[in-house]
Amino acid sequence: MVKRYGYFEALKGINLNIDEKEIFALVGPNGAGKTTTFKIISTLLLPTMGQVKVFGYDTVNESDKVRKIISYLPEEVGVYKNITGYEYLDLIASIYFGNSSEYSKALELGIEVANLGSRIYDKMKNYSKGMKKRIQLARVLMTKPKLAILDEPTTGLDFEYSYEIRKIILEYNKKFNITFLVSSHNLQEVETISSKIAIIKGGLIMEYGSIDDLLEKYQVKNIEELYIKIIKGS
Amino acid sequence: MRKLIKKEILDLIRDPRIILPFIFAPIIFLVLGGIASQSVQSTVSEIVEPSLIKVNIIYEEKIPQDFINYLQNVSEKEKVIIYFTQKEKDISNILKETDYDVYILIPKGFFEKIERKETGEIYTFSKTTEFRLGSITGIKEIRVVRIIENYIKEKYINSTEILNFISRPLNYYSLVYLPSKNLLVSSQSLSSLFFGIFIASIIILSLGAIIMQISSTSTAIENEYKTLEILLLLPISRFKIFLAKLIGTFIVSMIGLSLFLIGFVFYLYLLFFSVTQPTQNLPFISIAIDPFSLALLIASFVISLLFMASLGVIIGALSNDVRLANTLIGPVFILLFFPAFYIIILTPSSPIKDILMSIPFLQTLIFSKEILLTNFKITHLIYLINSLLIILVLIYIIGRIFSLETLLNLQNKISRRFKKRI
Repeated sequence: MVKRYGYFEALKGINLNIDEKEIFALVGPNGAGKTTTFKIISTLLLPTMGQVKVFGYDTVNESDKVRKIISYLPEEVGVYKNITGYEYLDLIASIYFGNSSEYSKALELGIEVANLGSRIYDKMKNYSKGMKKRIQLARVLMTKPKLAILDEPTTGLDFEYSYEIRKIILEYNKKFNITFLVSSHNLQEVETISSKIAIIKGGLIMEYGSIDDLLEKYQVKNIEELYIKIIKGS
Repeated sequence: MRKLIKKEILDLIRDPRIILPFIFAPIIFLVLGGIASQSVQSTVSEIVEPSLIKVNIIYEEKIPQDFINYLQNVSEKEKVIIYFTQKEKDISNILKETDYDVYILIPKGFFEKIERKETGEIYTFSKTTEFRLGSITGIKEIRVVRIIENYIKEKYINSTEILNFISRPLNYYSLVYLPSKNLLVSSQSLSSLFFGIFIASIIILSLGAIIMQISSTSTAIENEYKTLEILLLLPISRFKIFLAKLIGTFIVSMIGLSLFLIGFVFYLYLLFFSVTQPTQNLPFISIAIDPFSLALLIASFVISLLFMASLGVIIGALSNDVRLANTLIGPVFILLFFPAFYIIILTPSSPIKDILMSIPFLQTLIFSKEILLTNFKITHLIYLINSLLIILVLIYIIGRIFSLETLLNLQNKISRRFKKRI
């Protein structure tokens, strides 16, 4: 997959395969191409060259079908300041499920993931950064997507919120068989939740595989050492 | 889509930055109207019930005794107190040192001219320290001049009956015929109507600007907070997303605009109707507008507001933040303002008129100008259909470009162009 913005080549040709039900991490320095990759997979951007298939559906020609089975949490996403968390989740549930019985189930699940208590009825402008992230994570998971793409889901959050989000990711992966594609600068977090990773730099995949295999291949003790070795070595 | 529209409405209507100006509009207009009406009221009440005025008659030569007697006799009836000052220094010094409502300078040779039955010349002065509505009307001066005129008339015409006749030999009524409506209207009421059209045009211009501002801000905020990305990821067509935004913005704008209009009506009421009798010909407006024309005007107005909302949404979508959206609104509105101003001030002729008549917003300005003078024909309906087609094409185009890929490309181009200029 190649992506160019004018003369700038954000992705120089990457090739990835993510298995169903796994938690896959894409790690790399800032500007490596992680967000561009996520936006292409989630149908927001078109690849300049190449093809992306999500559960067999082409992200360009079958984008409608793809959008029905994926959810995306951008890194820096705001909220509608003047509507409540509940109204927001209600909107998402009704867009996905209309008036069917699935609608109320999705809404319940969203409220459960958000875990904001009575604050769910507050306008979102009064939410802390962590609460906003939780409501967005609830939006992503309440529809039980086949693929959830999370771009740095714990960035800027305190330890408690980060821990809860990691817990939710692991729980929903097991409970609903949701495939996760995650990016993070917190390598310990990646090690905790992911089984496979890809290290990306300058629009190219430097390494790709299971964490255990890569640790063995590079003869390092942990993922931090692995990352430094690959990034510096390149 | 209903839920998306509801989201748009709630998000906008709960935003104090959007709704407060609308709530304050009636209050601001009320204050403005109060201030303006105070000025106009003082002028109008001066005409209806003249106040007591102090007059200083400055003379350069001896004044005949019969003139003094005449002024003293009528002073109570005409509500004037007359003082006399011989001009021994410069007039500006007299004005500076004394305080009268009206000064009349009777130059040398005035009474000799009157004796020779030649037209005399006098000068009136008044003092003002500020410019305000109704401050320089000359009403008080005219009252004193009329008294002096009557002195001269009475000097030569002994019969009061003839004096009254000479003072006002004719009563005239000026009427204007409107061929297309087969109506005769007084020119006074026609002037009022033209003023009304002018005001209506200003309202349409203001409303257009407001609705464009709201819709562009609402869309630009989505870009700034990246919530547009989330919207575009939903399993709903991008056209519907755009349409929901357009309809939501339009509904909120209409709510806000109704508050704006209430304020404006307050303003007009305070300014005109509280201080003057309603024009006797006002019922003419409702009688003269046929239902077909009125329906076309209303349809044209709605299309115009949708057009402005669409322009606002596209400006907002192409701006990666609210600041850029506000910067872009200026040039776009100026592009519409110039032809609008041309339409308000002048009457465009074919083929320019035919082109302008098909463009939403400009069409409404022409319609609102024409509706009082003509009954709309089938050609007006064609113009309306043209404008409807334009707005549908515009909505379709915006719906097509409402994808992140296209928007990002366009946003980058616009941002680069503006950064270069800055």
